[in-house]
Amino acid sequence: MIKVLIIDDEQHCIDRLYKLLIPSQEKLIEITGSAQSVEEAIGAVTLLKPDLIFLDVQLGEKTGFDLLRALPAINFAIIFTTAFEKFAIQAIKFSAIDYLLKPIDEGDLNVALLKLNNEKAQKTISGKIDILLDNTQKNNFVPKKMIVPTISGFEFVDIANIVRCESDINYTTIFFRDTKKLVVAKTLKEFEELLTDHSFFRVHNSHLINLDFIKSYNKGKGGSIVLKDGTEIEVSQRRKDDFLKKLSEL
Amino acid sequence: MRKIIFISFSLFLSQLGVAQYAAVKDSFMAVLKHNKAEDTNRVKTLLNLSYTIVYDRPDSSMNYADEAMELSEKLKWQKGIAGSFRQKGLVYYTLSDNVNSMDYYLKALKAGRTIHSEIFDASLYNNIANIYADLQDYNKALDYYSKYLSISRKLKSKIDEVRGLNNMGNVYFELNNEASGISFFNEALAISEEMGNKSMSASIYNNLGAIFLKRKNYTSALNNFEKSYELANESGNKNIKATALNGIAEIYLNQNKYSQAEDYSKRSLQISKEVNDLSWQVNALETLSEIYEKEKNYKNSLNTFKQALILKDSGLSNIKAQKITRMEMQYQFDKQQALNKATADKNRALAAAEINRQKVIRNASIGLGGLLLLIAVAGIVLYKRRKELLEKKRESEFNVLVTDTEMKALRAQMNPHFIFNSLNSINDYIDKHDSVKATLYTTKFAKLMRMILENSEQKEIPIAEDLKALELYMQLEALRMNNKFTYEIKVDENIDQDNTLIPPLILQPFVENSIWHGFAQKQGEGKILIYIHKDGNMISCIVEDNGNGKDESAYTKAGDNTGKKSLGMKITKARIDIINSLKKSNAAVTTSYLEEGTKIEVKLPEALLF
Repeated sequence: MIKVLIIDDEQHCIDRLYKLLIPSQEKLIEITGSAQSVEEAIGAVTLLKPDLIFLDVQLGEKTGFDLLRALPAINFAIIFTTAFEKFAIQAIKFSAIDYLLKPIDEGDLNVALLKLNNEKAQKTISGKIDILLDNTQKNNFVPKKMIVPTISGFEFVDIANIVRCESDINYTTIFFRDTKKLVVAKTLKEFEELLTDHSFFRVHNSHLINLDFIKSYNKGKGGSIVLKDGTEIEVSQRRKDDFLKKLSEL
Repeated sequence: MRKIIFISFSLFLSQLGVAQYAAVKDSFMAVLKHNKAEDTNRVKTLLNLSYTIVYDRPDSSMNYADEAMELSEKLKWQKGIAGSFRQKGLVYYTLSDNVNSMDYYLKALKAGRTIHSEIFDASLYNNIANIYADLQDYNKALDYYSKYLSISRKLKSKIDEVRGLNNMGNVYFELNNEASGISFFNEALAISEEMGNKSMSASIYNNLGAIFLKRKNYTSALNNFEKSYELANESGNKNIKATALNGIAEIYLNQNKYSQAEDYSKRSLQISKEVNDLSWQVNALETLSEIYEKEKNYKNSLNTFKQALILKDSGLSNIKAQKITRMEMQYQFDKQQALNKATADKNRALAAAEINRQKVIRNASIGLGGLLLLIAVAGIVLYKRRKELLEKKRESEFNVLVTDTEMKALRAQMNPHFIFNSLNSINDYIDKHDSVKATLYTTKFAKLMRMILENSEQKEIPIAEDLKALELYMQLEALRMNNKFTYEIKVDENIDQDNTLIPPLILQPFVENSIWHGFAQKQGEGKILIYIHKDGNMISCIVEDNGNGKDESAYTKAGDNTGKKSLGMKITKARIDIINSLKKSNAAVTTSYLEEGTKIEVKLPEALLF
């Protein structure tokens, strides 16, 4: 049985999730309680020792992240629930923690629960939380690290060390500053979505590059970039204008 | 015969006593013997030695000058070469070979041009002038002395100034212009005495004496000769001593003081013999003969006359030689002139060539300048054009910004349109107490709303994503209408859905029209076909339904209460107009009415992400 705690500052959201979980409850899930504020939640977590927390990002004036910061240890799984906190969703994605958007879709919930069961690397949760809290200090999202799924599990990656990402159909190869490589079970598009706001740019269908590592740009139809590690990356003709605009903004 | 003294460079040697002369000569020879290094110092020593012994041993002097010349040429030392030419000229001058002397002086002058030494040039002007004076070409002599004088004054070389003034005085003396002569001599004397140069002063006093003697001003003449003698004695210059004594003798002769005259004349002869100067010996002997004649000592008179005649003979030959020399010189000069003319012609040709060259350079310069100007102009033009382009770019960027904003506004207008329609549906479920469907519908609506919100941020999105939203929309509508219609989405395989871009929700209003108006009055199942394919370089998106298409009023009237086309349709038209103005494309929407249903084709320019 999984002991579940629901933390949300709005009762109707708790009720909704409660209702959606009822069908599963009989088999695997036991809803042990709910809390509507960070303070209340701290007590509940200590008392109930849940295995899984549905955690709302916005808790009154505070956030779910504040709760996590306040807890001495994280030894439970987390599924965030949020309506539309863009920065929070970004941050959650960076730490590869699961999340559900409100109003919660039943299908999405079942998928999330299923993933939870399958996930062998529950041990990594405290690491994930560390990254999440590290990236969201003072409630600003400044990503320093991210978690990426690999064939063997998860890997913690320093974003500043990523030189570029290259698409390999459904996988992506990350090239690091120290010439290390990492094959990740994520599409380049997903990386693009995560990293585009953080000095990365997709110059080509199969290339996402860190703008901080550009050494030179050679003019041409689309032109090409030489990165500090010496690799030359073709710039797609259609991306040239946006790319140069982006460069000029640096 | 020479009664006056021209001062050339060599005169200063006579300042040295015999012992001093030997010492100087020996020291130079010792230097040459001990220091065999073939350098410029050796050239200098050779020239100094040649200069020192020029009167004493002209042959050796010439040898040393030749050696200096050879070494200078070997060292390619222009100053040495020029100096050697001058020294050789001086040797020839002392040998009374005026032709060769002049030749070498001119060579020295030419060679000296490269070393740009004015004092060197000046010394040559003086020596050349001396030759002209000897040749009685006084105008030329004056010419060169003037040059010499002006350089000397410019360089503040007093010794040269004195020489120049003195020599010019001599020329005026020869030209019987005593007044000018005296004036020059006095000027020279003042400087010479200021300098304390006894030898030079002695020469000048002698020359003054000669002038006053000529004017029969015996007192002044005597004073000057005595002064000259005194200074010549002090400086040990025997030549001047002999001349001065002879001058005094002549005065006494003219004053009929024969015994005194005889005395001075004999002394002059004695010294002239000592220095082995023939012309002064002749001068002395002639004076003495005259004195004897006056003293009626005819035997002695004849004797001395004979002696003078003998010496004069050789002297005569000298005069002859001088005359021959003059003629030779004239010949040489004529030849030189011809040569000069040739040289001048050559120089003119060279000059012309030079002018030509400079013309070429000038033309090249003008060309280059023109080119630079052209480049500058081109630069300015290019700069301006670039600026204009930038301005145009900025303008178009601004336009893009404006249209972007317009576009965003249009996209944003989609949202409330959707929201109200959907809220309508949810309301409908609640009315029917169908909470399960209401929940399902709400969550799907929420998802669609998210998609629309995100997509409407973008100008263009991949077809795949837009179709996802469109499909969700159709699902919602099908749900709301109890599956009154089905839909099919077809995309040609030659379209890369992830890489082909279309404006978000461009098709949605047409789908909406089909559902709300086409199917509203329809009996039986409605069907919507979305078909996307390539048509040349355009992407053709077709929305086809089997509704009541022909009844256009159904589209217009049902859309809103104003009887106009639906808001979504209007917005889409506006969006397509903006796309056309931005992309200079001919995107278009065409509506065709089928036998059953309506077919809308939206043609968009193909746009790829990568």
